[in-house]
Amino acid sequence: MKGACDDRQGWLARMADPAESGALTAAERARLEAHLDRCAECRAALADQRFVASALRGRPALEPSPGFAGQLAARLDETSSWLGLLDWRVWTLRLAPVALAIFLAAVFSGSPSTSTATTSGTEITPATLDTWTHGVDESSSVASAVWQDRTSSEALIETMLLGSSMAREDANVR
Amino acid sequence: MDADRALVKAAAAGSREAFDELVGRYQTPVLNLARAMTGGSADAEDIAQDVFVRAWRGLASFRGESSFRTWLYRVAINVIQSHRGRASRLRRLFGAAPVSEEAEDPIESAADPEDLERRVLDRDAIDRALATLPEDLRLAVTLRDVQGLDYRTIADVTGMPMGTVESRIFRARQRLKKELGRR
Repeated sequence: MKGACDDRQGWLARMADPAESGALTAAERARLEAHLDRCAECRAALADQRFVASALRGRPALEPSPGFAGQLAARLDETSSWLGLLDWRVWTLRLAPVALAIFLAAVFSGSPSTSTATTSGTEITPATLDTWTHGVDESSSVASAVWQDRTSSEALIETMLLGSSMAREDANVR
Repeated sequence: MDADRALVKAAAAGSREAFDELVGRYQTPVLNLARAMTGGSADAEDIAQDVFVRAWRGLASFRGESSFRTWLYRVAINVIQSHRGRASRLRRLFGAAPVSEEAEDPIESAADPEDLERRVLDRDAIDRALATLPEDLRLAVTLRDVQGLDYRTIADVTGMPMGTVESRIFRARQRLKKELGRR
């Protein structure tokens, strides 16, 4: 098939399909039929298309074996159990009581009633902490503010903002 | 209107019963696609099962932008191509196709043993003829003539332009005529 015949391959393919031949417009169909009247090669190609399409449509379907459904069900069960383990939503729900228990334990047992802590016999004070972090002793530092029992949230935020800006200024100076 | 929509929705929410119903609807087409695309391979059932396992895993990501059937065919084509890639690598490694048991081949509806034999021979001959085609031609003609998908759905499933679908179906049939005409 050459030239003009090549351009009609799609139409010939559809023409060979009873279900698809209706997809051609009346004009396309008329042009194709006019071409077929004078082109033996395309007539032969259309006959071949029809023969093969019919043979393939008549191919006997292979039905699944009797064990197919059972094997597939076992594989899906296995997959489902793994999917359950990998699902973060499942883990979130399962761990929610644990998270709640930790939170409650922290709230009811961790009241900061003392203003100092001891590690390996060394007393840690706010001043010590600030010395570790900034190397200076400032009464208005972040650690000092956090360490105080009755620091208001506004004061704490202000102190943290001031502290971080001061730290940046320190870094710029250095 | 997607006739599977309600089942797909239930299956995506975790209903195995709904998914089993979908499997029942599509197991034969998927199995035959696997069989036709792998040259009548005895692994076709394993491949078909892989398709449904992959679909079950991926169902939550199915957005419903296409029909479930179109989506499932895409999954099936991916699985089949992966299988063919693995089989090809094995052949390169070991020099021959891995030996596998011949699959049980039930066409139990055929009452006459001679009819049964003829039908199996027909199917095997067609599958062998399909196996001689390049993969792109085989896929197009299998989806059209074995699976009965319309041209628009084939274009959606494969991502090919309509003109390419038509051209590949035409060329595949022309080549198959030479193979099937020798019988």
